[in-house]
Amino acid sequence: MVTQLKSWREQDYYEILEISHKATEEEIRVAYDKLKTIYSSGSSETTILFTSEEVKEISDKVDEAYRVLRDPRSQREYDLMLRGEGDKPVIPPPSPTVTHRILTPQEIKEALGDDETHWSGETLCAMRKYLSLELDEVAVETKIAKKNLKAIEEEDIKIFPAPVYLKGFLRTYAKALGLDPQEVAEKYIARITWKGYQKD
Amino acid sequence: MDKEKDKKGKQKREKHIWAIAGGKGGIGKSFVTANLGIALCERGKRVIVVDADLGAANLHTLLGVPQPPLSLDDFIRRGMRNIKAALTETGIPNLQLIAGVHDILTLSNPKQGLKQKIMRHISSLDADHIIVDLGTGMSPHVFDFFLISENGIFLVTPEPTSLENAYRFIRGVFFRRWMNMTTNNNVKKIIETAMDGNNPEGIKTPSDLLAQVGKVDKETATIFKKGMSTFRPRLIINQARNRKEAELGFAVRSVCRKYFGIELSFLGHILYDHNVYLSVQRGRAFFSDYPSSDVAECIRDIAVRLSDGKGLEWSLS
Repeated sequence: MVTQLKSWREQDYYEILEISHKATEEEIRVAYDKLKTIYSSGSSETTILFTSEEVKEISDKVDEAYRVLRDPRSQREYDLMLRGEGDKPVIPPPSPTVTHRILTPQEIKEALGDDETHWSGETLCAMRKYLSLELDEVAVETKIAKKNLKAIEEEDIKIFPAPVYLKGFLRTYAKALGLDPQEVAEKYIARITWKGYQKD
Repeated sequence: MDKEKDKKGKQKREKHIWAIAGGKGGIGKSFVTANLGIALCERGKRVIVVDADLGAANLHTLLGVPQPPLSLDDFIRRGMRNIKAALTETGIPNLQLIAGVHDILTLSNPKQGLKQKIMRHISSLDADHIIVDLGTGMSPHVFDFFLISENGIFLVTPEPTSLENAYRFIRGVFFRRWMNMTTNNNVKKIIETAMDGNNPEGIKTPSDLLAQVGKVDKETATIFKKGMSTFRPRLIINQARNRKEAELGFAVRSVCRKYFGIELSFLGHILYDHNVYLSVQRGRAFFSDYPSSDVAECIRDIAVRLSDGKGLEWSLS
Protein backbone atom coordinates (compact mmCIF):
# COMPACT_ATOMS: atom_id res chain seq x y z
CA MET A 1 0.00 0.00 0.00
CA VAL A 2 1.32 3.43 -0.88
CA THR A 3 -0.47 6.34 0.71
CA GLN A 4 1.10 9.05 -1.47
CA LEU A 5 0.88 11.99 0.89
CA LYS A 6 -2.89 12.03 1.04
CA SER A 7 -4.41 12.87 4.38
CA TRP A 8 -7.24 10.65 5.59
CA ARG A 9 -9.80 13.15 4.36
CA GLU A 10 -8.71 12.50 0.76
CA GLN A 11 -8.16 8.77 1.04
CA ASP A 12 -10.37 6.22 -0.68
CA TYR A 13 -12.01 3.34 1.18
CA TYR A 14 -9.08 1.00 0.58
CA GLU A 15 -6.63 3.54 1.94
CA ILE A 16 -8.91 4.22 4.88
CA LEU A 17 -8.99 0.50 5.72
CA GLU A 18 -5.26 0.24 4.90
CA ILE A 19 -5.72 -2.76 2.66
CA SER A 20 -4.83 -3.58 -0.92
CA HIS A 21 -7.43 -3.76 -3.67
CA LYS A 22 -6.98 -7.52 -3.66
CA ALA A 23 -7.72 -7.97 0.04
CA THR A 24 -9.84 -10.99 0.91
CA GLU A 25 -13.03 -10.80 2.95
CA GLU A 26 -11.10 -11.99 6.00
CA GLU A 27 -8.34 -9.40 5.51
CA ILE A 28 -10.93 -6.66 5.21
CA ARG A 29 -12.59 -7.79 8.44
CA VAL A 30 -9.29 -8.01 10.36
CA ALA A 31 -8.19 -4.54 9.22
CA TYR A 32 -11.59 -3.15 10.20
CA ASP A 33 -11.41 -4.73 13.66
CA LYS A 34 -7.92 -3.39 14.32
CA LEU A 35 -8.70 0.10 13.07
CA LYS A 36 -11.87 0.34 15.12
CA THR A 37 -9.88 -0.65 18.19
CA ILE A 38 -7.19 1.93 17.40
CA TYR A 39 -9.64 4.78 16.79
CA SER A 40 -11.94 4.05 19.69
CA SER A 41 -9.35 3.74 22.44
CA GLY A 42 -8.87 7.48 22.81
CA SER A 43 -5.28 6.95 23.93
CA SER A 44 -2.22 9.01 23.13
CA GLU A 45 -1.09 7.19 19.99
CA THR A 46 -4.01 8.78 18.15
CA THR A 47 -4.67 11.91 20.18
CA ILE A 48 -1.11 13.28 19.99
CA LEU A 49 -1.78 14.24 16.37
CA PHE A 50 -5.57 14.09 15.99
CA THR A 51 -8.22 15.95 17.94
CA SER A 52 -10.89 13.79 19.53
CA GLU A 53 -13.39 15.02 16.92
CA GLU A 54 -11.05 13.89 14.16
CA VAL A 55 -10.63 10.51 15.81
CA LYS A 56 -14.41 10.12 15.83
CA GLU A 57 -14.62 11.18 12.19
CA ILE A 58 -11.96 8.66 11.21
CA SER A 59 -13.76 5.97 13.14
CA ASP A 60 -16.98 6.76 11.25
CA LYS A 61 -15.13 6.78 7.95
CA VAL A 62 -13.71 3.34 8.77
CA ASP A 63 -17.27 2.10 9.37
CA GLU A 64 -18.41 3.58 6.08
CA ALA A 65 -15.51 2.03 4.17
CA TYR A 66 -16.15 -1.35 5.77
CA ARG A 67 -19.83 -1.30 4.90
CA VAL A 68 -19.04 -0.72 1.25
CA LEU A 69 -16.10 -3.09 0.88
CA ARG A 70 -17.40 -6.05 2.88
CA ASP A 71 -20.27 -6.56 0.44
CA PRO A 72 -18.94 -7.85 -2.89
CA ARG A 73 -21.69 -6.09 -4.80
CA SER A 74 -21.15 -2.62 -3.39
CA GLN A 75 -17.40 -3.23 -3.55
CA ARG A 76 -17.66 -3.89 -7.27
CA GLU A 77 -19.67 -0.74 -7.79
CA TYR A 78 -17.14 1.21 -5.77
CA ASP A 79 -14.23 -0.19 -7.79
CA LEU A 80 -15.97 0.88 -10.99
CA MET A 81 -16.40 4.32 -9.56
CA LEU A 82 -12.73 4.53 -8.60
CA ARG A 83 -11.77 3.64 -12.15
CA GLY A 84 -14.13 6.29 -13.40
CA GLU A 85 -16.36 3.72 -15.07
CA GLY A 86 -19.29 3.79 -12.72
CA ASP A 87 -22.46 5.55 -13.81
CA LYS A 88 -23.10 6.95 -10.35
CA PRO A 89 -20.58 9.43 -8.96
CA VAL A 90 -20.87 8.34 -5.34
CA ILE A 91 -22.09 5.02 -4.08
CA PRO A 92 -24.32 5.42 -1.08
CA PRO A 93 -23.13 2.90 1.49
CA PRO A 94 -25.66 0.17 2.20
CA SER A 95 -27.34 0.29 5.55
CA PRO A 96 -25.15 -0.95 8.37
CA THR A 97 -25.37 -4.55 9.39
CA VAL A 98 -24.44 -6.51 12.43
CA THR A 99 -21.06 -5.71 13.88
CA HIS A 100 -18.39 -8.38 13.56
CA ARG A 101 -16.14 -7.40 16.37
CA ILE A 102 -16.09 -7.09 20.12
CA LEU A 103 -17.00 -3.61 21.28
CA THR A 104 -14.61 -1.89 23.67
CA PRO A 105 -15.75 -0.96 27.18
CA GLN A 106 -15.49 2.71 26.12
CA GLU A 107 -17.96 2.19 23.30
CA ILE A 108 -20.40 0.39 25.58
CA LYS A 109 -20.11 3.17 28.08
CA GLU A 110 -20.65 5.73 25.35
CA ALA A 111 -23.82 3.96 24.29
CA LEU A 112 -25.28 3.33 27.69
CA GLY A 113 -23.81 5.85 30.08
CA ASP A 114 -23.50 4.39 33.55
CA ASP A 115 -26.02 1.67 32.86
CA GLU A 116 -23.55 -0.52 31.06
CA THR A 117 -23.54 -3.55 33.31
CA HIS A 118 -27.30 -3.92 33.66
CA TRP A 119 -28.05 -6.10 30.72
CA SER A 120 -31.76 -5.84 30.15
CA GLY A 121 -34.19 -5.53 27.27
CA GLU A 122 -33.77 -1.82 27.46
CA THR A 123 -29.95 -1.76 27.38
CA LEU A 124 -29.80 -4.30 24.56
CA CYS A 125 -32.19 -2.15 22.59
CA ALA A 126 -30.03 0.92 23.33
CA MET A 127 -26.91 -0.92 22.14
CA ARG A 128 -28.66 -1.91 18.94
CA LYS A 129 -29.69 1.68 18.29
CA TYR A 130 -26.19 2.89 19.11
CA LEU A 131 -24.93 0.62 16.34
CA SER A 132 -27.68 1.94 14.02
CA LEU A 133 -29.09 -1.53 13.51
CA GLU A 134 -32.67 -2.38 12.61
CA LEU A 135 -34.34 -5.45 14.11
CA ASP A 136 -34.81 -6.83 10.61
CA GLU A 137 -31.11 -6.69 9.95
CA VAL A 138 -30.29 -8.42 13.21
CA ALA A 139 -32.93 -11.04 12.44
CA VAL A 140 -31.33 -11.80 9.07
CA GLU A 141 -27.83 -11.95 10.51
CA THR A 142 -28.67 -13.99 13.64
CA LYS A 143 -31.42 -16.11 12.12
CA ILE A 144 -33.55 -15.32 15.17
CA ALA A 145 -37.15 -14.39 14.34
CA LYS A 146 -37.87 -10.69 14.64
CA LYS A 147 -40.68 -11.33 17.11
CA ASN A 148 -38.30 -13.16 19.40
CA LEU A 149 -35.76 -10.31 19.29
CA LYS A 150 -38.58 -7.93 20.03
CA ALA A 151 -39.68 -10.07 22.96
CA ILE A 152 -36.12 -9.97 24.35
CA GLU A 153 -36.03 -6.19 24.13
CA GLU A 154 -39.47 -5.86 25.68
CA GLU A 155 -38.68 -8.53 28.23
CA ASP A 156 -41.81 -10.34 27.17
CA ILE A 157 -40.29 -13.70 27.92
CA LYS A 158 -43.38 -15.72 28.36
CA ILE A 159 -43.40 -16.26 24.62
CA PHE A 160 -40.33 -18.50 24.89
CA PRO A 161 -41.25 -22.14 25.32
CA ALA A 162 -38.34 -22.87 27.68
CA PRO A 163 -35.57 -20.88 29.41
CA VAL A 164 -32.94 -22.64 27.36
CA TYR A 165 -34.29 -20.97 24.22
CA LEU A 166 -34.07 -17.58 25.81
CA LYS A 167 -30.50 -18.20 26.87
CA GLY A 168 -29.49 -19.30 23.39
CA PHE A 169 -31.17 -16.30 21.76
CA LEU A 170 -29.59 -13.94 24.23
CA ARG A 171 -26.12 -15.29 23.53
CA THR A 172 -26.54 -15.02 19.78
CA TYR A 173 -28.04 -11.55 19.97
CA ALA A 174 -25.27 -10.35 22.32
CA LYS A 175 -22.62 -11.70 19.98
CA ALA A 176 -24.21 -9.92 17.03
CA LEU A 177 -24.01 -6.67 18.98
CA GLY A 178 -20.33 -7.23 19.75
CA LEU A 179 -21.00 -7.97 23.42
CA ASP A 180 -19.84 -10.77 25.68
CA PRO A 181 -22.51 -13.50 25.17
CA GLN A 182 -21.93 -15.22 28.51
CA GLU A 183 -22.12 -12.04 30.53
CA VAL A 184 -25.18 -10.67 28.77
CA ALA A 185 -27.12 -13.94 29.05
CA GLU A 186 -26.30 -14.37 32.73
CA LYS A 187 -27.07 -10.82 33.77
CA TYR A 188 -30.22 -10.61 31.71
CA ILE A 189 -31.60 -13.85 33.10
CA ALA A 190 -30.56 -13.00 36.66
CA ARG A 191 -32.42 -9.72 36.40
CA ILE A 192 -35.49 -11.29 34.87
CA THR A 193 -35.55 -13.96 37.58
CA TRP A 194 -35.32 -11.31 40.20
CA LYS A 195 -38.27 -9.57 38.57
CA GLY A 196 -40.35 -12.66 39.22
CA TYR A 197 -39.78 -14.71 36.11
CA GLN A 198 -39.93 -18.38 37.01
CA LYS A 199 -37.16 -20.53 35.61
CA ASP A 200 -39.43 -23.56 35.27
CA MET B 1 36.15 -19.74 -14.96
CA ASP B 2 35.26 -20.55 -11.37
CA LYS B 3 36.89 -17.39 -10.25
CA GLU B 4 34.79 -15.33 -12.61
CA LYS B 5 31.65 -16.98 -11.38
CA ASP B 6 32.71 -16.21 -7.87
CA LYS B 7 33.23 -12.61 -8.70
CA LYS B 8 29.84 -12.35 -10.33
CA GLY B 9 28.21 -13.98 -7.33
CA LYS B 10 29.83 -11.47 -5.07
CA GLN B 11 28.69 -8.54 -7.11
CA LYS B 12 25.17 -9.85 -7.17
CA ARG B 13 25.07 -10.14 -3.42
CA GLU B 14 22.82 -7.46 -2.01
CA LYS B 15 24.03 -5.14 0.66
CA HIS B 16 21.63 -3.50 3.10
CA ILE B 17 22.36 -0.51 5.23
CA TRP B 18 20.06 0.11 8.16
CA ALA B 19 20.11 3.18 10.37
CA ILE B 20 18.60 2.80 13.82
CA ALA B 21 17.11 5.97 15.29
CA GLY B 22 14.55 7.16 17.81
CA GLY B 23 13.82 10.59 19.12
CA LYS B 24 14.24 9.75 22.75
CA GLY B 25 17.29 8.57 24.68
CA GLY B 26 17.39 5.32 26.60
CA ILE B 27 14.90 3.48 24.42
CA GLY B 28 17.33 0.79 23.36
CA LYS B 29 18.87 1.88 20.05
CA SER B 30 22.28 0.42 20.83
CA PHE B 31 20.75 -2.70 22.32
CA VAL B 32 18.69 -3.32 19.19
CA THR B 33 21.63 -2.54 16.87
CA ALA B 34 23.92 -5.00 18.65
CA ASN B 35 21.45 -7.84 19.00
CA LEU B 36 19.80 -7.46 15.63
CA GLY B 37 23.34 -7.74 14.28
CA ILE B 38 23.84 -11.02 16.13
CA ALA B 39 20.45 -12.33 15.00
CA LEU B 40 21.34 -11.64 11.36
CA CYS B 41 24.69 -13.44 11.87
CA GLU B 42 22.77 -16.48 13.12
CA ARG B 43 21.05 -16.49 9.74
CA GLY B 44 24.41 -16.81 8.06
CA LYS B 45 24.80 -13.15 7.13
CA ARG B 46 27.98 -11.13 7.39
CA VAL B 47 27.21 -8.11 9.50
CA ILE B 48 28.96 -4.90 10.51
CA VAL B 49 27.55 -2.71 13.27
CA VAL B 50 28.63 0.91 13.35
CA ASP B 51 28.39 3.21 16.34
CA ALA B 52 27.53 6.59 14.85
CA ASP B 53 26.21 8.03 18.07
CA LEU B 54 28.49 11.03 17.89
CA GLY B 55 27.90 12.01 21.48
CA ALA B 56 27.67 8.97 23.68
CA ALA B 57 29.06 5.86 22.04
CA ASN B 58 28.59 2.56 23.83
CA LEU B 59 27.84 -0.07 21.24
CA HIS B 60 30.97 -2.05 22.08
CA THR B 61 29.76 -2.51 25.69
CA LEU B 62 26.53 -4.05 24.44
CA LEU B 63 28.53 -6.55 22.42
CA GLY B 64 30.64 -7.40 25.44
CA VAL B 65 33.91 -6.15 24.00
CA PRO B 66 36.34 -3.64 25.54
CA GLN B 67 36.74 -0.21 23.96
CA PRO B 68 38.55 -0.91 20.66
CA PRO B 69 41.82 0.97 20.09
CA LEU B 70 40.60 2.41 16.78
CA SER B 71 37.23 3.99 16.14
CA LEU B 72 35.20 6.25 13.89
CA ASP B 73 37.02 9.08 15.62
CA ASP B 74 40.32 8.08 13.99
CA PHE B 75 38.61 8.31 10.64
CA ILE B 76 36.90 11.61 11.33
CA ARG B 77 39.70 13.52 13.04
CA ARG B 78 42.97 11.63 12.94
CA GLY B 79 43.44 11.15 9.27
CA MET B 80 42.66 7.46 8.97
CA ARG B 81 42.49 6.96 5.20
CA ASN B 82 39.89 4.24 5.06
CA ILE B 83 37.21 3.42 7.56
CA LYS B 84 38.03 -0.27 7.09
CA ALA B 85 41.02 0.15 9.38
CA ALA B 86 38.66 0.76 12.30
CA LEU B 87 36.90 -2.60 11.88
CA THR B 88 37.12 -4.63 15.07
CA GLU B 89 36.30 -8.31 15.58
CA THR B 90 33.63 -8.91 18.21
CA GLY B 91 34.31 -12.55 19.00
CA ILE B 92 30.98 -13.38 17.39
CA PRO B 93 31.55 -15.09 14.02
CA ASN B 94 30.80 -12.82 11.03
CA LEU B 95 30.09 -9.80 13.22
CA GLN B 96 32.42 -6.83 13.10
CA LEU B 97 32.19 -3.50 14.84
CA ILE B 98 33.22 0.06 14.17
CA ALA B 99 33.32 1.75 17.54
CA GLY B 100 32.13 5.28 18.10
CA VAL B 101 33.44 8.61 19.21
CA HIS B 102 33.54 9.52 22.86
CA ASP B 103 32.73 12.81 24.52
CA ILE B 104 33.31 15.12 21.60
CA LEU B 105 30.40 17.46 21.73
CA THR B 106 31.72 19.64 18.95
CA LEU B 107 31.42 16.70 16.65
CA SER B 108 27.82 15.95 17.31
CA ASN B 109 26.89 18.25 14.47
CA PRO B 110 29.27 17.50 11.60
CA LYS B 111 29.32 19.34 8.28
CA GLN B 112 27.33 17.99 5.34
CA GLY B 113 30.49 17.08 3.42
CA LEU B 114 31.85 15.08 6.32
CA LYS B 115 28.54 13.30 6.79
CA GLN B 116 28.54 12.30 3.12
CA LYS B 117 32.09 11.06 3.44
CA ILE B 118 31.34 9.01 6.56
CA MET B 119 28.29 7.51 4.93
CA ARG B 120 30.13 6.78 1.68
CA HIS B 121 32.84 4.92 3.53
CA ILE B 122 30.32 3.04 5.63
CA SER B 123 28.43 1.96 2.51
CA SER B 124 31.63 0.72 0.90
CA LEU B 125 32.24 -1.78 3.71
CA ASP B 126 32.00 -5.41 2.71
CA ALA B 127 29.03 -7.08 4.44
CA ASP B 128 25.49 -8.31 3.82
CA HIS B 129 24.02 -6.02 6.44
CA ILE B 130 25.46 -2.85 7.92
CA ILE B 131 23.58 -1.52 10.92
CA VAL B 132 24.30 2.03 11.97
CA ASP B 133 23.39 3.10 15.47
CA LEU B 134 22.42 6.78 15.27
CA GLY B 135 22.44 9.01 18.26
CA THR B 136 19.57 10.37 20.22
CA GLY B 137 17.84 13.52 19.25
CA MET B 138 16.22 15.46 16.46
CA SER B 139 19.25 17.25 15.08
CA PRO B 140 19.66 17.68 11.33
CA HIS B 141 22.68 15.38 11.36
CA VAL B 142 20.65 12.48 12.75
CA PHE B 143 17.99 13.15 10.10
CA ASP B 144 20.68 13.20 7.43
CA PHE B 145 22.25 9.91 8.45
CA PHE B 146 18.77 8.42 8.64
CA LEU B 147 18.10 9.63 5.09
CA ILE B 148 21.46 8.80 3.54
CA SER B 149 21.10 5.18 4.61
CA GLU B 150 17.72 5.04 2.76
CA ASN B 151 16.65 2.31 5.17
CA GLY B 152 15.86 4.08 8.39
CA ILE B 153 14.41 2.15 11.28
CA PHE B 154 13.06 4.01 14.23
CA LEU B 155 12.40 2.70 17.65
CA VAL B 156 9.46 3.54 19.86
CA THR B 157 8.77 2.46 23.42
CA PRO B 158 5.17 2.36 24.66
CA GLU B 159 5.14 5.69 26.46
CA PRO B 160 3.40 8.91 25.39
CA THR B 161 6.72 10.81 25.48
CA SER B 162 8.37 8.32 23.18
CA LEU B 163 5.38 8.41 20.84
CA GLU B 164 5.40 12.16 20.74
CA ASN B 165 9.07 12.11 19.85
CA ALA B 166 8.49 9.49 17.21
CA TYR B 167 5.89 11.57 15.40
CA ARG B 168 8.08 14.63 15.66
CA PHE B 169 10.99 12.62 14.32
CA ILE B 170 9.05 11.34 11.33
CA ARG B 171 7.86 14.83 10.46
CA GLY B 172 11.35 16.25 10.93
CA VAL B 173 13.10 13.64 8.87
CA PHE B 174 10.55 13.95 6.11
CA PHE B 175 10.83 17.71 5.90
CA ARG B 176 14.62 17.41 6.02
CA ARG B 177 14.47 15.04 3.09
CA TRP B 178 12.69 17.63 0.99
CA MET B 179 15.08 20.28 2.20
CA ASN B 180 17.98 18.26 0.79
CA MET B 181 16.17 17.76 -2.50
CA THR B 182 15.83 21.41 -3.47
CA THR B 183 18.09 24.34 -4.19
CA ASN B 184 15.30 26.89 -4.46
CA ASN B 185 15.81 29.26 -1.54
CA ASN B 186 12.15 30.24 -1.35
CA VAL B 187 11.19 26.60 -1.02
CA LYS B 188 13.90 26.09 1.59
CA LYS B 189 12.47 28.98 3.55
CA ILE B 190 8.99 27.47 3.57
CA ILE B 191 10.36 24.14 4.75
CA GLU B 192 12.31 25.88 7.48
CA THR B 193 9.11 27.53 8.68
CA ALA B 194 7.35 24.19 8.63
CA MET B 195 10.08 22.57 10.75
CA ASP B 196 8.69 24.49 13.70
CA GLY B 197 5.67 22.47 14.74
CA ASN B 198 3.81 25.59 15.89
CA ASN B 199 4.50 27.66 12.79
CA PRO B 200 2.09 30.53 12.14
CA GLU B 201 1.32 29.25 8.63
CA GLY B 202 -0.32 26.19 10.17
CA ILE B 203 1.81 23.79 8.13
CA LYS B 204 1.61 20.48 9.92
CA THR B 205 1.61 17.60 7.50
CA PRO B 206 3.66 16.89 4.38
CA SER B 207 0.52 17.48 2.35
CA ASP B 208 0.13 20.98 3.89
CA LEU B 209 3.75 21.71 3.09
CA LEU B 210 3.43 20.41 -0.42
CA ALA B 211 0.50 22.75 -1.03
CA GLN B 212 2.58 25.72 0.14
CA VAL B 213 5.58 24.68 -1.94
CA GLY B 214 3.32 24.24 -4.97
CA LYS B 215 2.35 27.90 -4.70
CA VAL B 216 5.91 29.15 -5.21
CA ASP B 217 7.45 26.36 -7.28
CA LYS B 218 5.20 23.84 -9.02
CA GLU B 219 8.05 21.85 -10.49
CA THR B 220 9.68 21.25 -7.13
CA ALA B 221 6.37 20.19 -5.66
CA THR B 222 6.03 17.59 -8.41
CA ILE B 223 9.54 16.31 -7.77
CA PHE B 224 8.77 16.05 -4.07
CA LYS B 225 5.66 14.06 -4.73
CA LYS B 226 7.36 11.73 -7.16
CA GLY B 227 10.10 10.86 -4.68
CA MET B 228 7.58 9.45 -2.23
CA SER B 229 7.79 5.77 -3.06
CA THR B 230 11.44 5.48 -2.01
CA PHE B 231 10.75 6.85 1.44
CA ARG B 232 9.58 4.05 3.67
CA PRO B 233 10.81 4.27 7.23
CA ARG B 234 10.45 1.20 9.40
CA LEU B 235 9.26 0.87 12.92
CA ILE B 236 10.09 -1.38 15.87
CA ILE B 237 8.26 -1.26 19.20
CA ASN B 238 10.77 -1.88 21.98
CA GLN B 239 10.13 -2.82 25.60
CA ALA B 240 6.55 -3.96 25.10
CA ARG B 241 5.15 -5.43 28.30
CA ASN B 242 2.16 -7.13 26.73
CA ARG B 243 0.37 -7.78 23.49
CA LYS B 244 -1.53 -4.54 23.67
CA GLU B 245 1.68 -2.53 23.87
CA ALA B 246 3.19 -4.56 21.04
CA GLU B 247 0.17 -3.74 18.88
CA LEU B 248 0.93 -0.07 19.31
CA GLY B 249 2.99 -0.49 16.17
CA PHE B 250 -0.20 -0.87 14.13
CA ALA B 251 -1.61 2.30 15.66
CA VAL B 252 1.53 4.34 14.95
CA ARG B 253 1.61 2.99 11.40
CA SER B 254 -2.05 3.87 10.89
CA VAL B 255 -1.64 7.38 12.28
CA CYS B 256 1.36 7.95 10.00
CA ARG B 257 -0.66 6.81 7.00
CA LYS B 258 -3.70 8.86 7.90
CA TYR B 259 -2.08 12.00 9.26
CA PHE B 260 1.14 12.34 7.27
CA GLY B 261 0.15 10.21 4.30
CA ILE B 262 3.46 8.42 4.76
CA GLU B 263 3.83 4.69 4.38
CA LEU B 264 5.53 3.09 7.34
CA SER B 265 6.54 -0.53 7.65
CA PHE B 266 6.04 -2.20 11.05
CA LEU B 267 8.79 -4.76 11.62
CA GLY B 268 7.62 -6.08 14.97
CA HIS B 269 8.08 -5.71 18.68
CA ILE B 270 10.62 -6.64 21.33
CA LEU B 271 9.30 -7.63 24.72
CA TYR B 272 10.38 -5.97 27.92
CA ASP B 273 12.73 -8.12 29.99
CA HIS B 274 14.62 -7.14 33.11
CA ASN B 275 17.46 -9.45 32.01
CA VAL B 276 18.23 -6.97 29.26
CA TYR B 277 19.10 -4.44 31.91
CA LEU B 278 21.15 -7.01 33.81
CA SER B 279 23.16 -8.06 30.78
CA VAL B 280 23.88 -4.43 29.93
CA GLN B 281 25.03 -3.89 33.52
CA ARG B 282 27.34 -6.88 33.28
CA GLY B 283 28.75 -5.61 29.99
CA ARG B 284 27.68 -8.73 28.14
CA ALA B 285 25.98 -9.28 24.82
CA PHE B 286 22.37 -10.18 25.59
CA PHE B 287 22.21 -12.84 22.89
CA SER B 288 25.18 -14.70 24.35
CA ASP B 289 23.59 -14.89 27.81
CA TYR B 290 19.96 -15.45 26.85
CA PRO B 291 19.89 -17.04 23.41
CA SER B 292 16.56 -18.78 23.96
CA SER B 293 14.70 -15.95 25.69
CA ASP B 294 11.46 -14.44 24.35
CA VAL B 295 13.36 -11.23 23.67
CA ALA B 296 15.85 -13.10 21.48
CA GLU B 297 12.94 -14.70 19.62
CA CYS B 298 11.37 -11.30 19.00
CA ILE B 299 14.65 -10.01 17.59
CA ARG B 300 15.02 -13.08 15.39
CA ASP B 301 11.53 -12.45 13.96
CA ILE B 302 12.54 -8.90 13.14
CA ALA B 303 15.76 -10.13 11.52
CA VAL B 304 13.70 -12.41 9.26
CA ARG B 305 11.47 -9.51 8.21
CA LEU B 306 14.53 -7.36 7.53
CA SER B 307 16.03 -10.06 5.32
CA ASP B 308 12.75 -10.60 3.47
CA GLY B 309 12.07 -6.89 3.17
CA LYS B 310 8.53 -7.38 4.42
CA GLY B 311 6.76 -5.69 7.29
CA LEU B 312 3.79 -7.04 9.21
CA GLU B 313 0.28 -6.82 7.83
CA TRP B 314 -2.36 -6.65 10.56
CA SER B 315 -1.25 -9.39 12.90
CA LEU B 316 1.78 -9.68 15.18
CA SER B 317 3.02 -12.96 13.76
